[in-house]
Amino acid sequence: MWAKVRAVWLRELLDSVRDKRTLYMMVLLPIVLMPVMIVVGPVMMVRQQESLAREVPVAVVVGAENLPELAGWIESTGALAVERAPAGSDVAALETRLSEGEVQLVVEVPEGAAALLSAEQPVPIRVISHSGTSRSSMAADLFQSLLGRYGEELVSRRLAERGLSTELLEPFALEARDITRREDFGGRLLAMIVPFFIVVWAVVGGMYTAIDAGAGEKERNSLECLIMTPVPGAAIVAGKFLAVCTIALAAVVLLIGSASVSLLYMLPRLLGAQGLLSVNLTGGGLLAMLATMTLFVGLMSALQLALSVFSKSFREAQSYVSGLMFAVMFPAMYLMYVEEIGASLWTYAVPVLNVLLVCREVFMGAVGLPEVLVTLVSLAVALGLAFWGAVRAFTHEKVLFRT
Amino acid sequence: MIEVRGLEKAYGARLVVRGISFDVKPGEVVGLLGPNGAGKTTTLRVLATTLRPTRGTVMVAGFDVVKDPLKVRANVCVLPTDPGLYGRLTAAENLRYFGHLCGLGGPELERRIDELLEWLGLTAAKHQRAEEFSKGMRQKLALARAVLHNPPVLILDEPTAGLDVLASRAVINFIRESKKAGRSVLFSSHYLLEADRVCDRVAIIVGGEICAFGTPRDVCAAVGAATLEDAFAHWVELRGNGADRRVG
Repeated sequence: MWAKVRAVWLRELLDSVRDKRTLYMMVLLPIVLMPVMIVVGPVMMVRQQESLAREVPVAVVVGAENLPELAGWIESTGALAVERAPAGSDVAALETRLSEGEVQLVVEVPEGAAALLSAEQPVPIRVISHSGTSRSSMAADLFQSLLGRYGEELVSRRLAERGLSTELLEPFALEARDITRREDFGGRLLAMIVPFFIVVWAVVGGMYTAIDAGAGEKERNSLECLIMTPVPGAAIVAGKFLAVCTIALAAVVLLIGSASVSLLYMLPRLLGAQGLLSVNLTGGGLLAMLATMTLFVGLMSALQLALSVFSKSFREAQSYVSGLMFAVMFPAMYLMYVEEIGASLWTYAVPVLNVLLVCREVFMGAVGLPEVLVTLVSLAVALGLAFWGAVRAFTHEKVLFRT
Repeated sequence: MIEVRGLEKAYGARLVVRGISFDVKPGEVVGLLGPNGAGKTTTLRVLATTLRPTRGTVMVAGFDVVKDPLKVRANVCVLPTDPGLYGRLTAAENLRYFGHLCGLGGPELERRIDELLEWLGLTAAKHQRAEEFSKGMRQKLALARAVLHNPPVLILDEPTAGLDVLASRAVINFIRESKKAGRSVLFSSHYLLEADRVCDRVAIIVGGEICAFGTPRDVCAAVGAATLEDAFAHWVELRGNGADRRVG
């Protein structure tokens, strides 16, 4: 019997490897897409920030002559270039220049600002920015920070004139310490990204193999020839199931490998921050993740096979399998943004949720044995039911000849 | 080798095959002739164990199709209307796959593959993918696949449909050689001249019922027809196709 299961398994694998769609989903997307998604976005963002930092933003100071010391001080820092405009300048025209990106900030200093300052009264200063552009909002933040520093200098001077210490203004001396280890940071990043892709790729990776093995064979009429051979239906399903599992598992492993290499090695190197991210996985954790992943891939493969053979055509099967993909994608997307760990034990009995939770906890080094056991039992039961469903579909004449 | 007694097959409330009985002896070729929707393919599928009979008994090569479907499959070669090959696999790979499923393997299987490909004139296409084959080549390859395990019973569903003259001739020759080899051959066809030439006996099936069963000469004589085509037309006009008949 095993020889026949193996024959079906190997034939499906050979057929899949020769199918460009499977290769694209199984190899190309995980290997190319993950580095692109993980590396290109952050690197481009950092490059943009660096470029913004290199180009000094221009601030137009309207009424600079009302407080010449302020404009001079800001200019002396070199963080902002100051363009002086006389009081009463056309602010609307300046706002147009701001929205066109010619200047990044407009600051209005009122008349009598110097007198107010001398009288130790607050000087109202108006700042106009265009927060729709990063350069303008960065210039606004920069100006506020510079104004704060300038204000602190003024206050220090005033306190010194009165013979008082600046410590009067700082009753607390704050000392902050972050205990996050590099491993925790890397683990958290992987915990956010990898479980999502594991559950999605458990469906996507073997999708074309599953559709081809059921609806595809039906459409080509080769399924009828196959079931006319002296091989029990369960053995045919087992061979096909193993093939879908192999392809999907290979895709998931490639994906995890690709995501890990991108996140832990490529990204830090490209950002010039080697050793910034690392992850600390235990042997037990890895084993738990591997077992969970394998059972989940099996569950998805069996479900896809059942849906595929139930379908009248390749196209119908694609619709059903896409529905399955969305069904696993939504909880995965939700959990991607939820940070808490240690959900109630019953949640580990819910397929999909349990895979996401276990994988995430493995990366965060917080996985527990009872949770893993509940997950494995739940997935094994679901897999058994899905496999039985696939065998029923393959051996039921109404389903088989539903064309 | 094939024994059908009171076979009925219904899809839900629709009765497609209505209590038919016939037999095919070793070394005999029997043609199942009927218009579209007459129940030919359904009958052949029951014999091939892909459909379960609703009533009646069907024995193929001494085994009951309901009780021993795997043994029936091991003793029967089925050629459906569509060859149903794996396009991305080569001719040899297609045959090797089905050989393994039939329990063959090793040098014996390779020798059999070479033998069949040579016999059907496909040796040059041995390593060519089936998706590149012409319809005739595909049908020949399907034939090779069907007889790979050398079964005593052949069931062919419209084996010459859509084939050119040369490919049709190859199939007809194959049926004749199978008869000489002592195999029981049951095939369905629309081509009455072809059936007249090849079959020892024919069964005319209309509306799921067998109207006439015997040698072509007897079938013609029974209704006073000059040709098998006339006899066929007589029964189809008399009975209609009976597609609207219901169970009970």
